[in-house]
Amino acid sequence: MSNRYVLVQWNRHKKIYDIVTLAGMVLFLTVYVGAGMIRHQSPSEISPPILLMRGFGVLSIVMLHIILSIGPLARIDERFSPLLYNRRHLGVMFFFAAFLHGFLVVGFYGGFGSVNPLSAILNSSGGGVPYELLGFMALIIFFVMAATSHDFWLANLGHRFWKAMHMCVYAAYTLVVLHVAFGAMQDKQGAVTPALLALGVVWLGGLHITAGLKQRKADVAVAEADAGWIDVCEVSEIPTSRARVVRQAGHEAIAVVNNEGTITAMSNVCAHQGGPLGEGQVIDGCLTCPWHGYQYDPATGCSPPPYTERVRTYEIRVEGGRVLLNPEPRGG
Amino acid sequence: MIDVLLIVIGVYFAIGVVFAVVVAAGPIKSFDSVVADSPLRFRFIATPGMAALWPIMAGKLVGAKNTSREP
Ligand code: HEM
Ligand code: FES
Repeated sequence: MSNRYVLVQWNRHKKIYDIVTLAGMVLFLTVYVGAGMIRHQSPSEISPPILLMRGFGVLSIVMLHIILSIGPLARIDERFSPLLYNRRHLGVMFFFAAFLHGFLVVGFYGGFGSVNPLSAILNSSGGGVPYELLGFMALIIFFVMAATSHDFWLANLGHRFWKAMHMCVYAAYTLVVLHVAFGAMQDKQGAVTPALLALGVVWLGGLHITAGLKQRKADVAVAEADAGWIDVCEVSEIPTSRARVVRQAGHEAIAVVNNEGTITAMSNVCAHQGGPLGEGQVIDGCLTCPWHGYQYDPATGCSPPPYTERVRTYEIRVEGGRVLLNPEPRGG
Repeated sequence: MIDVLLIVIGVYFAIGVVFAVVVAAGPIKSFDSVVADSPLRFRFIATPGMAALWPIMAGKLVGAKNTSREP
């Protein structure tokens, strides 16, 4: 049924993902510049380099929307989960597109003055909203995120810090929206850009709210059973090879897994980058993280050899068809 | 105003780049034992982040040195 999370072809899968992304980017730019050249013929001609610069701007904002959509989409419908895989590469490619946009702006609009070109660009708003500065600040945030996307950083900065830092993407997104709202839109007439931008904001906002609501519904409304055990749900409510997430204030989220009828529980937090294990599925007897495919034996919480990752496990009791969970991790 | 900001950012990253190159040449191993076994291109990948977050990484480097001196 599903070999979507397959780990074995990890590299091939990643390569395909990257090639498709790159091809999409090239195609987008080609169409954007081509269409621009046809639309803006003399006397209102716009030179291809300027079109390319704008193309990179538009490409990067489109990619940003795609990147920010993937998380909530995968929560809303699992068919989008394969997109999560390798989202990091997508992020880095997005950064290069945004960087080239900024670089070309500085080169073409700032390159001919006598002052430092970057300073010339950032000072050029002449009393209006300094939208170039907003884009610049966003770009710096994206740079830091792209530069620290490697696992080395996750390991050395710690989960919390890394995650908090990468949440800055929403601040950067806001800066980008303002950058376009005050910049590109002021220069040009027409309602297309504002309408698309508004659509993008509404789309992302809607997606995040929908995903949040769905998650709340799916998460178990925790009813405390005897002696601290939690009454999770009916056994039949957890589909085979899937998990259900239990959240409780003060505890880490716990994934209750149905592996061919055997119910076990483990941490919902992947040892790799904190991915939501409970949103993955059991493949080859292991619960498989939807983010990058790390796998864990549902009984032991250990990754299959040669891997050494391990997550906490929890005690489960099945009584009268109901699943009961001890929220204290095994072994203390 | 913006020029001051640019200078500050420029100086910050200039220090960062120097720091990153120096750290990538050797001390990076003390952050992460995995690094020693990784191919050289990994160090290349780590440098931009070093340049961006150099105050944090410098702090860690100093901290690591201090703790390793203690018995
Ligand atoms: C150093 C950073 C940046 C600078 C100096 C900059 C500057 C500019 C300038 C001057 C324009 C107007 C172009 C024109 O009217 O011909 C523009 C447009 C635009 N920028 Fe940026 N920008 C930067 C970063 C970003 C980033 C990070 C994004 C998105 C992720 C972005 C997205 C856009 C978009 C979508 C447009 C509209 C393009 C169009 O429709 O013509 N920019 N930018
Ligand atoms: S977070 Fe990367 S595999 Fe789970």
